[in-house]
Amino acid sequence: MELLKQVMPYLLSGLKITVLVSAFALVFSMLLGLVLALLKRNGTKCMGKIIDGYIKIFRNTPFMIQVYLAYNLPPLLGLHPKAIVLGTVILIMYEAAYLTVTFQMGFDAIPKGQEEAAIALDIPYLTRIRKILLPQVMKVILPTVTSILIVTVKDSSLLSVITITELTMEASRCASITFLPFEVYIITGVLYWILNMLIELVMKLFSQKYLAY
Amino acid sequence: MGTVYNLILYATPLLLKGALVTAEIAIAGMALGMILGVILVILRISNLKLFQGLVAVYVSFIRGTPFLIQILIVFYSLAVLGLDLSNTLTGIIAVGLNTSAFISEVFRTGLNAIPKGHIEAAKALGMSKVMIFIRIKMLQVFHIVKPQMVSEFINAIKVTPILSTIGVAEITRVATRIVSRKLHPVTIYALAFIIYFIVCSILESIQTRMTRKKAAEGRR
Repeated sequence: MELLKQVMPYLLSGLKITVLVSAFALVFSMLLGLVLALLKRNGTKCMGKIIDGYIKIFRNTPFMIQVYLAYNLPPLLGLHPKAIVLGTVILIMYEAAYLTVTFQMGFDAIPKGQEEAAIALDIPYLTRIRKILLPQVMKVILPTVTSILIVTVKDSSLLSVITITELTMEASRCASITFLPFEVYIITGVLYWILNMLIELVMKLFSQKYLAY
Repeated sequence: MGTVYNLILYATPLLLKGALVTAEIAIAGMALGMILGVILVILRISNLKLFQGLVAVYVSFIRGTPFLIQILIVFYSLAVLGLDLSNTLTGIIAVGLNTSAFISEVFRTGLNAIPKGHIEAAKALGMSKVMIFIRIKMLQVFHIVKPQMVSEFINAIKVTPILSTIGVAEITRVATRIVSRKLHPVTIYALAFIIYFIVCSILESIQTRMTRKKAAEGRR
């Protein structure tokens, strides 16, 4: 269709930003989630309660309000980061709350004997985590992580309200340029849909190839 | 400090009025979602490949697209169809369509959780298929999925702020309007944040209690 050809370049550039932001956010939120889950598991009870509070705050409120607050808070503290940095940071913090719970469940799913054997063999903490627990945890939580990645891609569309030029914002711009909002948003929806189905497919292939015994 | 206090006094009643709209949309959207979800599940477990395929595609689309895009599609679809519904009603429809996909999936797994023995006993007693469906399957499913329904309701509430982009007067939109007139965005949005946090935390503790009760009671 003529509309497709006109609109695609804009949408694809927005899609690029969406993919970049989501991938970046996933990597760093997984790191943060892992750190928080480990701190909760092996740290003091007080730290555990603080982390529980963090999870509760980020899970029991809508992401959109978090985005608005994240956008308006730094100027009060004198910081002026770029919008895309802000958006990625708040996305990281939001998804990390879910990933912390995911990692917790993953760690709980591994038989305690594994860790006890590793302690008995005098393997240091970080090596224990890296070489023994983590590979098993990743295998267990991969389906959950896939769905969190998909949710991250969908939540990235909310970053359009703080002027980040990802797919949804580009779609709004195209809708006002072409005066055909219905068609443009349908195309955008299909693009998101294809992206998420690709993610599911890639994760499935990945788990079959690398994580099957 | 005085002006901040006055601002909070000014903003809170307005935000709470917005909270009523949020509640209205979440409850109505959830109800619509449950009705549609039952219809979708009926279509899904019918043995007609066409219906199964359509429902699968619909659920996949809803689950794979952001809610913001879904709202915009619903909004402009209604315009294309020539219907001029209020923003709130559009929001309810969008929330209903969205939750119906997730609820139908919840119902689907819930139906599989009903012990086969119940259905076999009903067939042995000569119940017609329709009767079996209504009395055995649906009634039990509603009990089985109660915690997940609360979870879906929490999601419905967490999704309502996105409706502010089409002008629905719920909490976030009210907050944005106050901010555009009185500034102090952090204070106002923090107030809205606290309202959402209190409501969702209460619902979450209800859900946790439901899950614990269900686990303690065994299957029923």
